[in-house]
Amino acid sequence: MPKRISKKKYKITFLPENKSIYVFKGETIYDASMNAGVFLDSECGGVGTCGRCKVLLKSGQVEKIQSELLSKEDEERGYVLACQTYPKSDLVVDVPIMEIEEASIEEGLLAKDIVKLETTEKVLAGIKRLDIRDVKIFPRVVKKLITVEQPVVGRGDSDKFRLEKALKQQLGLKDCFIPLKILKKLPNVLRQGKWMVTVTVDEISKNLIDIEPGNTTDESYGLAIDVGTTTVVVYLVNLNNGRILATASEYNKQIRAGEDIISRIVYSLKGAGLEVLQGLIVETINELIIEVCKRAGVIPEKIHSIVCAGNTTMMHFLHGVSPKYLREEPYVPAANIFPPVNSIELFLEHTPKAIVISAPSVASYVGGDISAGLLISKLSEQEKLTLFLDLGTNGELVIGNNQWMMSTSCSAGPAFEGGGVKDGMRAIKGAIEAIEIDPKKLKSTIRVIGGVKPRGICGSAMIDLLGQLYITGIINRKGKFNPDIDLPYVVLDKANPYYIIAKAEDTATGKDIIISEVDLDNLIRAKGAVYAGITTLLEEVGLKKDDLEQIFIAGGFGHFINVKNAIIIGMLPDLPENIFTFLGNTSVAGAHLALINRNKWKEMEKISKNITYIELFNNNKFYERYIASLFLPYTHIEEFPSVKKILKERGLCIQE
Amino acid sequence: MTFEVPLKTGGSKINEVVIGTEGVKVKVGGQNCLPFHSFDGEVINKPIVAFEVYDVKPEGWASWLMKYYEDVYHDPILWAKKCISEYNADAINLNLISADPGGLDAEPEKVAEIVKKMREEISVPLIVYGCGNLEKDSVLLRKVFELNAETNLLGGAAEEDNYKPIAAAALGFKDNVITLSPVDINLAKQLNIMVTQLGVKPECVVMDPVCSAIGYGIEYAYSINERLKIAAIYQGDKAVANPIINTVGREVWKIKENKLSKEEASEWGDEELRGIIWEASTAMTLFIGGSDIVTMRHPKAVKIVRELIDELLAEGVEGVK
Repeated sequence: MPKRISKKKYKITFLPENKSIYVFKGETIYDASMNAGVFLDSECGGVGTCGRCKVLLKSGQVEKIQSELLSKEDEERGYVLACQTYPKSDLVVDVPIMEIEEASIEEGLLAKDIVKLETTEKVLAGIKRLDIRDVKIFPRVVKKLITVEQPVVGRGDSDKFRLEKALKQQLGLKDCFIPLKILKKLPNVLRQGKWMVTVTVDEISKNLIDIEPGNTTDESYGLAIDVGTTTVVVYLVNLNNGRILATASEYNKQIRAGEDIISRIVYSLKGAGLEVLQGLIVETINELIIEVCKRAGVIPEKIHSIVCAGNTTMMHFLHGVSPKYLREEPYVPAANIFPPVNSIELFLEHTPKAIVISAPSVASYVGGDISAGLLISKLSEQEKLTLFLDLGTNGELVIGNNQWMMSTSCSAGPAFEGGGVKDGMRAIKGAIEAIEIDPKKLKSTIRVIGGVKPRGICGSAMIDLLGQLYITGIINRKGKFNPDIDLPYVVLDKANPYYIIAKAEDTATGKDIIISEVDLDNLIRAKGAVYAGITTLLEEVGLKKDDLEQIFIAGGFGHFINVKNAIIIGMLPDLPENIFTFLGNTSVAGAHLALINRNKWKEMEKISKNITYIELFNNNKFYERYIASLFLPYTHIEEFPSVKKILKERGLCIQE
Repeated sequence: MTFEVPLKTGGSKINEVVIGTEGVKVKVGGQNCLPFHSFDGEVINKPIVAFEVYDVKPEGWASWLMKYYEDVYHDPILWAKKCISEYNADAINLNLISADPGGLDAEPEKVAEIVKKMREEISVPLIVYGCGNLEKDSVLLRKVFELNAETNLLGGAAEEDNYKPIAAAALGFKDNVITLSPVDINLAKQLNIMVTQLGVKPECVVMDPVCSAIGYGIEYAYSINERLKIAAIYQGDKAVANPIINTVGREVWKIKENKLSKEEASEWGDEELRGIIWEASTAMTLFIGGSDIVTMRHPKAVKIVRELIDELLAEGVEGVK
């Protein structure tokens, strides 16, 4: 007798979707949800440590493991934690509506607004801003107007034959592939356009993508997308002149399934986890596509080319390819370069005619977003020894020049993009982007993006905040609040003390905007990982920080980074401010470039293949430096002489 | 041609910490060379062994260790005195386990009284450890320092989460403090910086970088001791230029190899000899790594270690000035 038949099975029905699935005895409601493809909120991936997979038990018997993560009130109301509950009969459960606030879609910041640091006017000359006037408009997918011969009585040439002839004679396109769906509408389109038609052709694959009556060559659109772990950014681009028509950004909906890459990979390995994750990123992108099109007044169907840049794992999720072996030694991806696909294959339903191309990855943890960033920063053309830093959820670092390039990655966490920090947010309208604290009154002066009332703080302000709290003596070198300070802006709550940046009456939310000790701890970990990554990479190539001649910083922080504060907190090495240049979001900028000029994609591919990758996973020195970095600015203050000087001036450095 | 021993001179000094008052005091640290490297520099003070004493009868000790203290464990003062008179102790390490909230939960005042009484009655310096509970220790050690003000008592441990009240009390009552951090050179340095930022003098701090018994990861403990000493002496890192204490007795006698009798594990041979060798070799390993004070339990193990120390530091050994 087959084993399975003897096993008891229960039917679990999930409301409101009304999806049912059978589970074996010994499986949890969470397991059932994964198998059914029902999305339950969870950060821990079903191991009972986050307490977020609450479901309401409508009917049926269960056996549950008691958990402190479920409040008494919830328990009385009939809620259970899905991953801690085993069915003992058929069940009906109700999945509560996500409690996470849906981030509203806001206009993102454009990377073309590369902002100069106060002192770096001259330095910027070294790199060119993405000025589309310098870029030849040469997209992969083009729209062309052609005239097809009229049929003549006595010569039975088909519509398809005459179209092929026109493509060959007028566009020089031989053996162009005309798929069935085009053929179906061809006869009517030709006659409707009175033998004048606009064809959309993928010039590399030589596929005919669309045919429209008359001249529609004006309407040629593409999308550049930064598929980030925490944030997704979309640019709508006019492919005739390369101009950006609209932009939008939103948090990646996958955050519900885990904040970092590793927990998402773990999630993807269970049941229908991979499909759920693909669904979430696709949903995020689809919403953003609708938004940019709405803003620019463009019909999404007219988009026929999309370039995506993202880290290697995100590319796996977007394409529905399991990233399982990225997490297992020796950590290899399914692919570094994903093939071009039709957007329907990726469920990007609003742009059915578009072909989707991905920026090539360097290695498992250095993705296409970095190839795109290097394309923009032109690192591989620099004579000077240059460090390129992309500070996202995963921090990627590349060091080199026109002779060589080495890269590595370190997990910084989502703090700089607003994750894991209570009042954190992306760099969008309403975000505090700069903070200065008065050393006497300890009051903050803030600058808000868009000049409105603040709603939260973005990455650039977090760096300011950590640095300013430290040099004003509000927090100590461990990032803990100094109990001797008793002023209105510091609340010494025993469990989690905090500093008030903006009082409720001055904010858009009507609540104080604060930063707590727990938030600061997350920030210190993030900056610690970055610094440990920089110093370890430098040592691996046998160089010292003073050998660096220029440093490019990329990331979605905001308009700028205050380098002084970033040095004070020990995130960036203590080097002269004028060698730092902030480039903004280079991932989407690189995608934009590759979208408007197909040779740039080739260039990106070449760059990605010329980088050597170093693994930090098993690097003891990295871990040691990371621990040493969990201190402001660093355990060994000799590495930060300029910070030591400031501290001495302020009487904050007693010994050494 | 004669061989010349290459010398590594010119090291920075470890802070010299004075434990105890006139007549009963001992100094630790002060050296400017690695342990026993008297040919490279000056070993000013001999590393010392402190006998572990507990304020209530400890549970679970092997009989072949307990038999030496059978007549005194009911009274910590008698116990300490026996270690001094019969086993010639350099120092006593009193462990205030009765204060543990998970055990007897004794009042801090009462426990601190025991410390005071012992200090007054014994003729060697006293090193005190609390019960290990972070909250309780912050109250208890404050009381201990208060009742033993200005006696250069060495007390702790101050850890990352309770260093403030403990270090502040040691500063206020002019005693010495032990800073404890878990087997990490950077965490040790960070804690020392935090403690000295409060105003505690570097000459009043002894570090406990946490150790383990041989077979239980001693490589890490050895390496941390050694790296702390190298950083302090040859890299001039003042923030870690403090003497090191390692609590060897506690670690060695809790492992299963020192709990099983020869009947239970005949292949391991005589249980007492096994324990003595284990404790003595663990202590010696840590001394060679960089320890300045080691706490121990078995009188015979202590004897072996002291003889080895004397031998290593004796004049006339080849290469020694």
